[in-house]
Amino acid sequence: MVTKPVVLLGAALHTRDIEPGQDYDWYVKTGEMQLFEKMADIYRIGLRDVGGEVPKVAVIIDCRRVGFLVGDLPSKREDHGHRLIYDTLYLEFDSQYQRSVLHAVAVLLLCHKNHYKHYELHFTDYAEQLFYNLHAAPLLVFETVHLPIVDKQPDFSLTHLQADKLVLLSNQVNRNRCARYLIHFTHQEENSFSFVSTGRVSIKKCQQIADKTDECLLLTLSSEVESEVNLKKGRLFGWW
Amino acid sequence: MSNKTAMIMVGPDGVGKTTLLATMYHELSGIENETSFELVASKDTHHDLQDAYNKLSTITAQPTFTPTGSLLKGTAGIVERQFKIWFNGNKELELVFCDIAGGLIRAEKGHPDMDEFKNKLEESVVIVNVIDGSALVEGDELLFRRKNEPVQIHDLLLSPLINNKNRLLLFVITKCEAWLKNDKGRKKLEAAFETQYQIILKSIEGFENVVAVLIPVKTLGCVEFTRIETKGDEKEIIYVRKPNLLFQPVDTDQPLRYAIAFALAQHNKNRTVWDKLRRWVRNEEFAFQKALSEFAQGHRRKFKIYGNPSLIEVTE
Repeated sequence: MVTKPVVLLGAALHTRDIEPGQDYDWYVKTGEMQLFEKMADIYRIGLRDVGGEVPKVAVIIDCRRVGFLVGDLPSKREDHGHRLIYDTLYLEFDSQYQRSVLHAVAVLLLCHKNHYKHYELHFTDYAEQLFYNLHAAPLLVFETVHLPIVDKQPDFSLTHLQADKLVLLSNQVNRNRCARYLIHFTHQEENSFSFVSTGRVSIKKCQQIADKTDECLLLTLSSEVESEVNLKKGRLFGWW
Repeated sequence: MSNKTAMIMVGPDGVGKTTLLATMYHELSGIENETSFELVASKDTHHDLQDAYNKLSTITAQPTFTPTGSLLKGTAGIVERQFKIWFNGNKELELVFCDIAGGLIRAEKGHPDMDEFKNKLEESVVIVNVIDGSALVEGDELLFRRKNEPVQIHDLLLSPLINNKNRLLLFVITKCEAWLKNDKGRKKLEAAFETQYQIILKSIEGFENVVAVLIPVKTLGCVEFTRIETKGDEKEIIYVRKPNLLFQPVDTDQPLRYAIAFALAQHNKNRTVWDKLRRWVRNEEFAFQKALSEFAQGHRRKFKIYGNPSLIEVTE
């Protein structure tokens, strides 16, 4: 895995501890974060407790910041019921690292299922470092994070995406199209943008996520989405 | 009138709520073969519950006579499962079944999921309290309370039960395979329940609008309680997979069967005058009641009933 170090501004961890009562929650919030609340909302609506084996990732670009979330990271810890504990890691960067973050997301979208495990492990290590340094908050446990670099080009023959507020079925073709879009993404200063890749999340919930930013691109496994849905048009014509 | 009926499962984390839901759905998904009613999950719900069921079925790959690990991920928030009930090819009712993170029962004000949880609880006509049977029978007071949290459950239930809306309360006991082998074991389970839940049962007796059913189930069928071990200050219940038993849920269809029959009966009772007239003209009412009665025949009569039993009586 080829990675590059990126300077971190803040980090948070959603996990649980062993005993009853130590339930899933945001256990760690370190550094100085501006987009965390918005990301926590998006996570609650569209990434938590979601079925389907696809990358569970999200990005927000707003206020000269970039927030990056990667979920469903299997830790080595078990709770009191011997259930494996899953981590969700949130990292926040300055907007100058937007390209690095979006490229990292593209890597996760483009990689083969078997390779995804290596990236999961990579981010789980950071998540567990945060967990074992619970009491270090609000200080940053680490100052840089190594993000994967694009080592595989997307398929340029596929139809180019025009993101507005778009929901796409999460299949290989659409993941490829989104990766391409993210690699070549240019942010307009006045607009906020979000990207979410998740499992079986309904259009209604996708709409709730889309409402949080000016532009948004969503990948879902929901059977309600056959190929793609423009949420702005859908709302206009009252399709749901 | 809204055709959406809400149901919710409550119980601390680790009692087996998601396991129960996955096995309940699997056992009851073929009801159209026996009655005119058909339970259809939304495609996403179907995939999620089928995935969960498939994971549970891998229990047979776990080693025998050693403590078993859990097969499903813990729930972190509130998950809505969508179903529709069809009758003679027409959509009759939409069901929303909520599965929750166990920790929510003791969440405090300000918790981001608290308002949603309380609202779901208030609007639910069927509330399923899932109970850890091993802790109920074999646990000391501390272990029982840690695993089942009956005080929090009582406090939570009071508010929805106190208003006049008719409710069905299902006490579903899981992890009790070891006591479901004979009548003696069943009676032991029932006696333990009635002792430990006497405050809740007493409250239920005071409400005309509430009926409760005690349903012990085998969710896996091949995993049994063996002993309680002490690790440090904590006691831990040890379950092992028995080599001679198959992955074979037993009676897991029953909670959903009671829930659906109750929801349909309430729905039928609350129809608008116009709807009632339309159905009378088309002679649909008799067919519906007959089908509902046939569906309710699938109830096992052996389950203990508390509160107002007339609420779950179905006549043609």
